[in-house]
Amino acid sequence: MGRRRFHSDLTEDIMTRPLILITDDEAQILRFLGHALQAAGYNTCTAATGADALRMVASQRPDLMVLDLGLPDMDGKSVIETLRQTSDLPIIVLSARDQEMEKIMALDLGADDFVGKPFAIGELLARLRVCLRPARKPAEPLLRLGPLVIDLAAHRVMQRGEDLHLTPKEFDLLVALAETPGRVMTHRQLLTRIWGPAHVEDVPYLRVFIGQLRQKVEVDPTRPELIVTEPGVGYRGAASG
Amino acid sequence: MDQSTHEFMPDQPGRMPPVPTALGLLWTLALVVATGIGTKCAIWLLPAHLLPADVLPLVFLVAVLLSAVAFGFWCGLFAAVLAFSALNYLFTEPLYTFHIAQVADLVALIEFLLVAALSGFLAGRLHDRAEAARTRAEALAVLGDLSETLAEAQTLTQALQAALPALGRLCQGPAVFVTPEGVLPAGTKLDPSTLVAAERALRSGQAQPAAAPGWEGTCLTMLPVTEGIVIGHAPLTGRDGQWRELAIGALARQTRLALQRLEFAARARTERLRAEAEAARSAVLTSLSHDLRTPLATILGAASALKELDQQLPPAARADLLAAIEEEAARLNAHVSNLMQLSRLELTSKPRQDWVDVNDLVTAATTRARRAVQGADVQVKLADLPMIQSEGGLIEQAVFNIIDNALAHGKLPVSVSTSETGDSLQICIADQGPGLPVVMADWLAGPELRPALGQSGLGLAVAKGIAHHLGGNLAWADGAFTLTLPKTS
Repeated sequence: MGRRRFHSDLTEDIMTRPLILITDDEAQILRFLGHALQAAGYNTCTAATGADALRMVASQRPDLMVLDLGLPDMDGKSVIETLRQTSDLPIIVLSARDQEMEKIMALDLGADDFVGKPFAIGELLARLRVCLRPARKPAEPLLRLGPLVIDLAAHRVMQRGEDLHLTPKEFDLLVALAETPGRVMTHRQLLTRIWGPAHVEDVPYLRVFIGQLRQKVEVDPTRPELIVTEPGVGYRGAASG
Repeated sequence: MDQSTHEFMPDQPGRMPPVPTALGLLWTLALVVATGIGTKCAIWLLPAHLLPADVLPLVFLVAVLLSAVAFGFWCGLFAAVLAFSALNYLFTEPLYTFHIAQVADLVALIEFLLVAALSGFLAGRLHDRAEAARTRAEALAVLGDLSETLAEAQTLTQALQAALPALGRLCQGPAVFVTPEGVLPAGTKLDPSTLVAAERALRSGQAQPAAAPGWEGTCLTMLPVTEGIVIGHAPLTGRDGQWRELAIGALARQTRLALQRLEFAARARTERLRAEAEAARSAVLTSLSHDLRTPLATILGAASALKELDQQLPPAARADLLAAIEEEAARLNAHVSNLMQLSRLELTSKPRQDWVDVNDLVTAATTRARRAVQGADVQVKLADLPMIQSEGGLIEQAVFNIIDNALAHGKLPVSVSTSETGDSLQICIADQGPGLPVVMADWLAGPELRPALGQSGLGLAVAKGIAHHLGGNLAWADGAFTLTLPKTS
């Protein structure tokens, strides 16, 4: 399976659609993803091997890559590693549900998000939308996460007009999740950012803080909607509508 | 050379010099007598000024030194006493008696005895030291060689075979190893009492000395080495027996260490094999789950796309997605039924014994394969075959799986032929592809039913299982699979 570009009718609109590179060695997966992503309003191109994928990134300049971790020629993780040396291209990793280590390593190497196989197309499309959303401008003073409004300069969090009292660590944690709404953050990423590189293994610590934070921001802390757990991987801030 | 070689070499200054041999004493006697007679003759024959009386003790002193150097301390002392007597008898007044007339002569003779005894003692010590050093050097050389050969030994028998000649050299007599598998060197017969002594040595962990005056033992000294292994060696006699015993002790320790090393190596090998088997099993599981997951991912993905992107999908894409769902469901079904089949074959239920026509089954399998794979070029050449008693469904499944495998991994055309030899029928499936990877060929030749590492799909595993189940065989050679089935089970 070489490079194949799925073209539908060439219209003005098509030229402005985001281009998605699908990298998977299974022809059947490429087949349904091609149809689905085109129907959902994307242009697609495909690669069946890691080397192929790196070439396609250089020649086609896709806006996002969907990458299967099990490739015949090279490990999907090394594709991410190679790519991250030169490019910020958003990468969504496809991997079997039970291969948590794989996922975590891919995310820590710089993948933006993951979808576990098998998946319903809606799940992948949601991740695609989040990853393709333009990055928040640094100058923006207010962050939003669901009904929460976070004022970075004033170090204040407001919920439906009321002030919430958060400790500095809780505040940092909330900001980390709100900055990339809808995107997964691994335990390691959160721990490094808030507690420093010496604490990357202190996952139980993180869990306690997430629990406290949920008590303060969630409507029902037992059924969290703003801070969603990705079991074994990390946490995800709610995607903004 | 290891530590145990050095251990047995302590110096023992307080020890008595070794007992003289009868031969040494005889030689000493002869030497002194000859000296006496020679000197007497010389006095008679030569002018008196050439051999004055005060030189005579020096002549005898030479004889004493000679025998001490040659035969050791006791012989030197013996020579001194003899020389003293000879000097007294032959050369001091009154001649030819042991009486001493003059006090001065007595003093001279006693002085001579003292000097002779002292020099004999010194020369004897020198002799004994030299002898001991020779034994030690020899034992060290033997142990040094042994540690090298033991290091090269790869099996228990090799190690013991290496230690055997060294043991023989150290004990200077017959030497054996008693092991649970028998006695080394092979063919050695030991009498029951010796074997009992060996067992006693093992049980007590103590050496069982051979028979000696005042000790009722067997003909060999038994020395335990390690669990189940005993050294039997000739009793150690001679003045250096003690050295040899220490050297044999060192040999036993060296051998024990070598056997321990071999045991650890064997244990490490077993562990490694187990880890490899474990890794292979988990890799197979991964590959199996991959085979099940990929069709599932396609089915779920395509179905959800049809549901969620309903209106956006062009009709062609919609049709392709439906086709993908159908194909992948069929693939999934094939995997699952192969998996079930494999589990069933692993339970040893007896195959049915219907009369079947193998040619019919091959034709059916070929037709199925042509239908399953588009553009499948399968050529069939059937020989006239007798019917056999077997389970037809299984044969068809096996043939189909092999053809399917050839279509997937080989190169077209695939040719299928049947033939008959002696008491079996052969179904041969050949393609023009690159052939079977080595891992797969090894797996096919082995007894293991579960697929080999790197094998995707279960088709061949099931075919192999069916062949074995029906009392036949699946082999691969020269670019072709041959399924052999017995005419009678």
